[in-house]
Amino acid sequence: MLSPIEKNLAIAAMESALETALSNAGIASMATIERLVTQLRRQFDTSPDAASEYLIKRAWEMLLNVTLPSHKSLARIGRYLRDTTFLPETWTPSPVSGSGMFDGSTLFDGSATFDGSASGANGTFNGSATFDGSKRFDGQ
Amino acid sequence: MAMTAVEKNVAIASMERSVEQAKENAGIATLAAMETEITELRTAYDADPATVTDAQIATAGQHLTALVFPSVDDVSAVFDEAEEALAE
Repeated sequence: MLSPIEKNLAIAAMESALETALSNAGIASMATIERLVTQLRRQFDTSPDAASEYLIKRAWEMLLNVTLPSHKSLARIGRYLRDTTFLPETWTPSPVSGSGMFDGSTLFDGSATFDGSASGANGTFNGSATFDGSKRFDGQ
Repeated sequence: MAMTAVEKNVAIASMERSVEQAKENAGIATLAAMETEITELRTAYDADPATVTDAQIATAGQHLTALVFPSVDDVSAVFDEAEEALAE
């Protein structure tokens, strides 16, 4: 069963493939090709001269350029999107290890000195400071 | 050199056959249906991912990959087939 991220990737891969195909063909929607071919047939059936040679060639160009992906390349697009847009599914945060960290188990009474170091997924903290109660913590 | 009426007819007929063939292979009624199918999946996913089933995604993927149009390599074969069909 697909996870929400996998579903999102699969849909995004299809959207991307379709957009690329339309862009390569120089058209705004797939319906354009169908409409143009139908229109050319109608014009030709009315009078062969009415069917524009330019439009016939243009329609053929569209058909040749609107290349949609195979299963293999659809999966490749999905992998590309996963690796560039989302974190890899195998990604797990590295465990934080450290000492002297406040774990909420004691009440801070302003009398202690903080002196600790820790490293983890977001970088390494290694420092010491003394809290003297003179400043408000502003989250910086 | 300008195309003759017969050449135009073959060119149009071969496009009609190509489009029909692609739709038939993909199991869709119109080319626009392909876009609609993907847009609907996106809309449903954005509203609630749980409403989009694996089967719906797999089906849309099958439709998309089966929607094959002629390439430069097989364009002459497509023309030949259309020419033969018109001659019958």
